[in-house]
Amino acid sequence: MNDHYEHVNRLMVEASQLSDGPAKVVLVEMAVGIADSHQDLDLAFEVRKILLGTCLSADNSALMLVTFTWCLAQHDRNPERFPLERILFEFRWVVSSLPTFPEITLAKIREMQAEMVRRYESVGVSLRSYWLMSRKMAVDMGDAKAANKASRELHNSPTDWLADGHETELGFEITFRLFREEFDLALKAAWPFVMREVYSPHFEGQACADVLFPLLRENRAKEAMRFHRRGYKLRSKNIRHLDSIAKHIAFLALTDNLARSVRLLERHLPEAMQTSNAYNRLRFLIDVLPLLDRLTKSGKETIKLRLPMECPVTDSARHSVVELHKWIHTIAGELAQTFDSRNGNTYYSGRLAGIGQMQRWFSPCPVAQ
Amino acid sequence: MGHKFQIHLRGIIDLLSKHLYSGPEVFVRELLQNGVDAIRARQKVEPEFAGSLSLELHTPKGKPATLVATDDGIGLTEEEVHKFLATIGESSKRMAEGDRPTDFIGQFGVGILSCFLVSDEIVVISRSVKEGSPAVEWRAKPDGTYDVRTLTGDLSPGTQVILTAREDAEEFFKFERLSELVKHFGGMLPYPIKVSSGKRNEIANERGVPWRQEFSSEKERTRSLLMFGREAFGLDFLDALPLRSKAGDIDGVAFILPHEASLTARRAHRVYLKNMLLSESADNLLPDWAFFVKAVVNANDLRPTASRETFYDDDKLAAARDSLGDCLRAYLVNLAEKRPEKLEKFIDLHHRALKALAAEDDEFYRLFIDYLPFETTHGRMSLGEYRREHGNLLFTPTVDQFRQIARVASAQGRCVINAGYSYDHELLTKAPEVFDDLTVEELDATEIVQSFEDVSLEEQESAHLLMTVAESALKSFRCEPELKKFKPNELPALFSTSKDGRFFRSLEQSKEIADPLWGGVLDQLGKREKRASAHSQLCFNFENPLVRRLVSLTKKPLIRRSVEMLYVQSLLLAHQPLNAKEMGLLNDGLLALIEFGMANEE
Repeated sequence: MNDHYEHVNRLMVEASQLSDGPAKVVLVEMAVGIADSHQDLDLAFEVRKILLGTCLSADNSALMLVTFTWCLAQHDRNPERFPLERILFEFRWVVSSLPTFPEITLAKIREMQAEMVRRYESVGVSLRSYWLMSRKMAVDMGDAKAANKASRELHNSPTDWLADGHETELGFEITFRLFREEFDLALKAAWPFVMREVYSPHFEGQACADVLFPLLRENRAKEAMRFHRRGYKLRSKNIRHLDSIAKHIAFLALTDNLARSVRLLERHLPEAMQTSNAYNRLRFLIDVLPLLDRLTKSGKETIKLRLPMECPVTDSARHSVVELHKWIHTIAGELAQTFDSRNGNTYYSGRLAGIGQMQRWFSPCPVAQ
Repeated sequence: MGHKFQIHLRGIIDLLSKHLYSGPEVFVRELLQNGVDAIRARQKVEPEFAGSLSLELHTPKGKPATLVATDDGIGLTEEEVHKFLATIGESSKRMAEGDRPTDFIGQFGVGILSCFLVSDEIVVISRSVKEGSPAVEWRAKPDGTYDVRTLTGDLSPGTQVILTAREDAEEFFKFERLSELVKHFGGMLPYPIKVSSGKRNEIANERGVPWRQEFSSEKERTRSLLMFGREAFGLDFLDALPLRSKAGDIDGVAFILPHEASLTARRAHRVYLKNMLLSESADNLLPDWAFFVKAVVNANDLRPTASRETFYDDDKLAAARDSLGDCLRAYLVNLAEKRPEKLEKFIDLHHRALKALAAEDDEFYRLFIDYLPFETTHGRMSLGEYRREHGNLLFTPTVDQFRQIARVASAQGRCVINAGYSYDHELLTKAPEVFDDLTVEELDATEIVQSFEDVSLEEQESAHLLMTVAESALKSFRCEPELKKFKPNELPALFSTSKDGRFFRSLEQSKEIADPLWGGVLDQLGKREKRASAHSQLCFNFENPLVRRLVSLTKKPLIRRSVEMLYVQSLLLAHQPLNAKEMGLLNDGLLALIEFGMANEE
């Protein structure tokens, strides 16, 4: 009689065997489909809740948004059967992902932030996680004023059952401090993760990448290398973390480990070109440019590496460094302009223009110590 | 002026038992540990000293049982008793070895307190090897009070710990249980441990560990290791191999699990530190890809975490993990080169692990890729078989796409690989780097329709009415009709949709019920891709007899109903979920069929 439960269960077990990524998303989506086919609304709601988390881990924000919309609509239709509290936690993931879609307008993002406040207030929960997310969104959109305001509000908001844990807040603090170029404070926030005083493999992976440039600036390459060795492994398997991966690639170049840096570029550039997350692609492309600069500075005119199909210089196995630099710079420039024009500022174009400055931190240090 | 904290010892013991120790039985580990430390300390001043331990149970009738744990180690002077046994957290080992001792097992100096988990009193009688030291008795209660007195009489150097069974801990004072615990925690210790109760006695660690023994042949060693595995875990493992690492000074054995292991299952290895059991659930000792293995190892040079559940993840452990990974790699290479039958069995169970490894290691990829199995439209086959029989690789990127096209591709003799499972996509796209002239092609379900044979102009004209009605019937489902010829002939229609198509089906579904604000966001999101008017295709098969008959029909309602039913049927065949509207079609169609049958009967 409840065969569809079994079928859904089987798919969920199959999905649980897979590592995070698109294949897992497809299996959970199939389970959603079965619940829908049987018009089993409760099951469809439950499985969609799982799909939200699966999408987050697989960097599929578009499907996460679509799925959340369905869940929220079910709540609106039947608030007692599907209380808002059941999806409030996921709300922040969805709203904070909106800046990563260049096609979603700034006005719409603001409306959705207001919607989040309205919904949170309707159940009387603290806006602490709202401000945390708003700060992240402001950072993602290069809006320093909004980020600072959100930061002040965050610290004035009480903690409650819905607020993020200490680890999450600390993890987001690193990003905020890097955005403000307060490198010492960024290191301070990252330190508990890299030293494993706070246990969180997710934020440890992020922190290990985030400390690389601040440590290089302080001439602490050897110390940073330790975090590269540990951190890259933590982030290399998931396309969601392309931004961290790019930092490792640039770090290797700036420590004169060109062969390894090129190898990682070869491995991850196709992922960056395939990802549906244009924002992650942009950050990846900007942050790998120091490698190309480094190759040029070292007198390398051509390199041998596999490039993604999208690259117009894929005719031979050996490629001109200048041409490759130009290609990556052009795509990054176009994306930066798209995001800047939506965000109403020049943050990403500015970052792209200033990327050459990173060569000041060049400090040779072997990977193996 | 210095002040001392007031410490509530009972509270500390509760804290330890709840948060630091896995259960009261750890008192046996702590007793053994203290004994071993004492023997090692004595060996430093008397290098030839052998050392031994004993645990003796006394079970007088009508009285609680007592346990006397004895070691012939270095012993304590009266001053040391005051200093070390009465100061919580202080450890004699720390004084000897600096802040982070590496020579001794214990680091935290609170081990003795674990005895309060099973006894309301701890009595320690000790005599130091230092010349002229008298024997000392330390008697402590859980409320933090203790007495120390000097004993007369001629006791041998060493230490005795005497515990009296508390009512709720009697099970630990029985011979079988105690013997089991001594074997569990101290089975690898290099000093004989005698366990006795009345007339019963045994040397609990007499057999030692099999991977340190000499064997006449490799086969004999494997047999012995497997027997050890069966006794330790109750499992008949597929195989066993020794593990060694200079980093961390590690030796041990890895057992190959006899069942398929989950990629995401928590790894739990049995680890010893300086031959004393540290944990049954160490999870960071082996590389992530080695989830097909259960390991038992001893490390002499790794740091335990404070919870003593596993090792501290520092650079030394990372180096040790790489070395142990190399042992497993070498084993697999040996299987590939010399033991093909065993390799076959291994792959049958653990191909996921091999795929994980091949995805991250190019050398390993070259060696194993041809052995690794993939699901194809012709059944499961290894990549080597596929290449031999079909040449270039053709795959669908998701399980969903594979299910859509499996039947048709198979009927057309095209062998398509399902790359929807972990690592498959990565492994397939890497193949051209290894095999010269090999190409890899990704097949989208909608593309397969394009490869079908076109109908002639006359045939197309004959089906004009069918296609017009179908277009109108399917429009609201964002599905486009198509007419082609394809195998198998008995399949009247094929539904296909791409990844984007599937996404838009979900998007539309959510938009239908969303409020204007959220609907507006989805609208903007939908503009992202160049959106086709249709998300999917229904391709009618002109070779199918039913479709031929449909072409000859002239009544539009009948054609429409038939198209709708073929649409639903093709969705089901493609393993596509039906939304509410499509379920409605199915229900209406079935009811109409019943009515039609009843009308004929009447």
